[in-house]
Amino acid sequence: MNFWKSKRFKETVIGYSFLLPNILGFLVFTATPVLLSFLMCFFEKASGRWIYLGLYNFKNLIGFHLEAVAPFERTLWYHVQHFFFRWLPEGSQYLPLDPELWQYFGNTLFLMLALPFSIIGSLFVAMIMNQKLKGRLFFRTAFFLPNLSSVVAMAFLWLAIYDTQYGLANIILRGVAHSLAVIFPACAKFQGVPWLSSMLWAKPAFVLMNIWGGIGGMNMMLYLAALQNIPPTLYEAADIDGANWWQRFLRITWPMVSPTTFFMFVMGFIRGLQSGVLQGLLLTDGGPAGSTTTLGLYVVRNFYDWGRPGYASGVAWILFLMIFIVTIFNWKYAGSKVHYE
Amino acid sequence: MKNRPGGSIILFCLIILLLPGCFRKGNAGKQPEKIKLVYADVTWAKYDDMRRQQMREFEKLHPDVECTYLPLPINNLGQKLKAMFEGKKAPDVFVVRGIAEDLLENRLLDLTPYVERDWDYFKDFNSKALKRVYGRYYAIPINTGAVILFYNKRLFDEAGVPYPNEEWDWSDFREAAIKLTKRDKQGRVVQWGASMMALWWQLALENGARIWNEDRTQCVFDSQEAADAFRFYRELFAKYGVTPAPEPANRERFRMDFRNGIAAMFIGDRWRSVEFKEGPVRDDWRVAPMPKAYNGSRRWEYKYSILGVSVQSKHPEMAYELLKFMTRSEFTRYLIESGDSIPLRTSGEEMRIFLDEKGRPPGENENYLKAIDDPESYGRFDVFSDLIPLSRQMQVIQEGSERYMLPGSRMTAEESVKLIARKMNSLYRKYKAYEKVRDEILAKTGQKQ
Repeated sequence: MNFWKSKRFKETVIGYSFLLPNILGFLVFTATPVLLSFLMCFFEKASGRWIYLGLYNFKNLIGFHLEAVAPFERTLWYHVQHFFFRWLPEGSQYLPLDPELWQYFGNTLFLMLALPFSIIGSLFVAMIMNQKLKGRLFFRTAFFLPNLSSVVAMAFLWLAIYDTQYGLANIILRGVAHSLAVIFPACAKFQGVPWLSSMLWAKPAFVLMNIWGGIGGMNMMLYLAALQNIPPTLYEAADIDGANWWQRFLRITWPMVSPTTFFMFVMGFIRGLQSGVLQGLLLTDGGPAGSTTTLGLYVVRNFYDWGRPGYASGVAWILFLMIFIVTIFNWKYAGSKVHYE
Repeated sequence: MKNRPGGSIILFCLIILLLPGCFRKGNAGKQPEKIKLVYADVTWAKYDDMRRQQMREFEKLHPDVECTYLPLPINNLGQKLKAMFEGKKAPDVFVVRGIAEDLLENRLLDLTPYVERDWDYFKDFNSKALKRVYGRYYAIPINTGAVILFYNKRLFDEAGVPYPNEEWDWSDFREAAIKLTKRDKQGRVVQWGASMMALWWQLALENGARIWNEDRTQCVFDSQEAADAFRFYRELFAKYGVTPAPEPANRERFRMDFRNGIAAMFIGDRWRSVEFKEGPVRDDWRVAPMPKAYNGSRRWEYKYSILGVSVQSKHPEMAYELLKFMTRSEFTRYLIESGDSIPLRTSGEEMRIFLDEKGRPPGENENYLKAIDDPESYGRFDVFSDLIPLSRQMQVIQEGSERYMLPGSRMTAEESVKLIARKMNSLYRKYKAYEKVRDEILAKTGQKQ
């Protein structure tokens, strides 16, 4: 039978025709930029031309050099280096050629502290929403709202909440502190937390914001679907065995939703490493003192503000490698803990 | 009949692809195409209509030209322009953000031959605004400004504090700010003595510090003068509480507090007066010269908006004409009358209008001119390195100073300026090394200009 006239061929053509828009979209908007950005790592734009630099960008990104540092800059890292590398001259230490990359990597990891809290929080909320409550639909919608709202609007909302003098957060905290002043007189002096203007508080402020965004929304919906898929017979059997609430949760609910938890963990890790661009730009411009600049924002700065597209691509590919390694690690080790029916 | 959905889809795609061809007009009988020029600038509702009007007037003068005004949002101006240049769709005339960056990216056409040819037209321009960079003219100013001390006369009168004057130095400023700050029973500020944006490096320069050495090969910001200026500024909000802390979230508040009449003093440039003329403070604001440094000098930044012609322009001569057209007296007069600009030209009608500005006390506007004419006044290009992008240098200064200025920071002023100098020098070495590698490669490939 002629293959070109066969039913199989026709079905293949029809199948690919349906896939075509998606494949074209992927090729044009994903694969090509990814490929171009990979090529750009080895080039840099100079005087309007692309010049081939080989591994120069990567050398500058992850390389180290010896540099004199002032006494106030001598951290534990300085002493560790001098302990191991005895030949180092006094007052000098190996510093990264791009110290900002490491600082911003640290910031990115810190902001990912929101991930476990938002996973636990969304499971907790989903469990409540799974009960037969009055107005359940309203609450489900309300909790899903952060997912539907614009990031820009959310950022401005939080900007108003975190305002040092007039923000809602500090109004509440001041109210609590002044009430406590009856017992602890020192509390009367409390004026508020400098949420976005202090290097100490800016990162936790971002984490809180991310927890809020992560609890509702898609995470809660996924958990809700997972909870509804748990066969009621398991709980009935547990009841007959006399299991209490905690035992039911630990032995039935938690293992049964573990594939969802694993999915959220993997996706949350990937998103977390890429995050912080819009929030940083809108709320703090990456400050104070770079404490809310993430690797994603560093890519944007290098690409658009400082005219180093090749270097920016290098940062992006380092970020990709991190995500890739972490995801493989997650699949290999965390994936084995997941319970599949 | 057999269903052939695969064939139908292919046929449909073909029709879609061929359809536009059926409607394409031929060239026969068509008038010669007009020269198309695009002018891109930062959008501002107040000026967008005026700029469109300028385009129409230019078209009347040059019937073979069609001009389009492209308003761009300030927030991602750099990104937009970059994307346009990358896509070879750059506007013919565009607002220059930082001349060093634009030169680095090879965006600006050298306008020297045109400016020299039309020197009679430009000879009256303020030489600080129309200036050569690397010995060439790459951009032309359309708007100039100077940093000045705005004060609220009513609040000064209520507090019985004498107005700022020519002889004021920074201790006078601080004393007045302390007297003008008012608090409620809980100790919360209800009226700020001053509202100062993050003027860290500017204050340091006025105090005698320098960012780079003479040949701009080494950052010399780690000086006592810079540390003293930082300390003075920090004390204003941390010790005396007379100005809001320079939090990123406060950026808008500095100006809004003065505009709304709840800050007695504000340091900003001439451009701010447009807003103050319309806000609650409109009847009360006045301007005075900036306070002097302790060594008696007054050294402040002058600012200007400049436009350049893109190297990608297909009609550079006409693009230059459009740019020149926008600097004509009848247009810059509008900017002066609205309170936005200081005259581009040092004499003539513009200057008369400026000095006799409607609604302003006589002689007040001379303060702006003094600020610009001061031999010590400077533009950013004069004090920053031309090797490193300006925004990068600003970031290092901002991050370094925030380590001392903001709550929770543990550095001293001296440590903060040392950190800035070390980071700047490290950055300089990095960019210098990159420049060397780049030049070697360009030389090898015969591409070096």
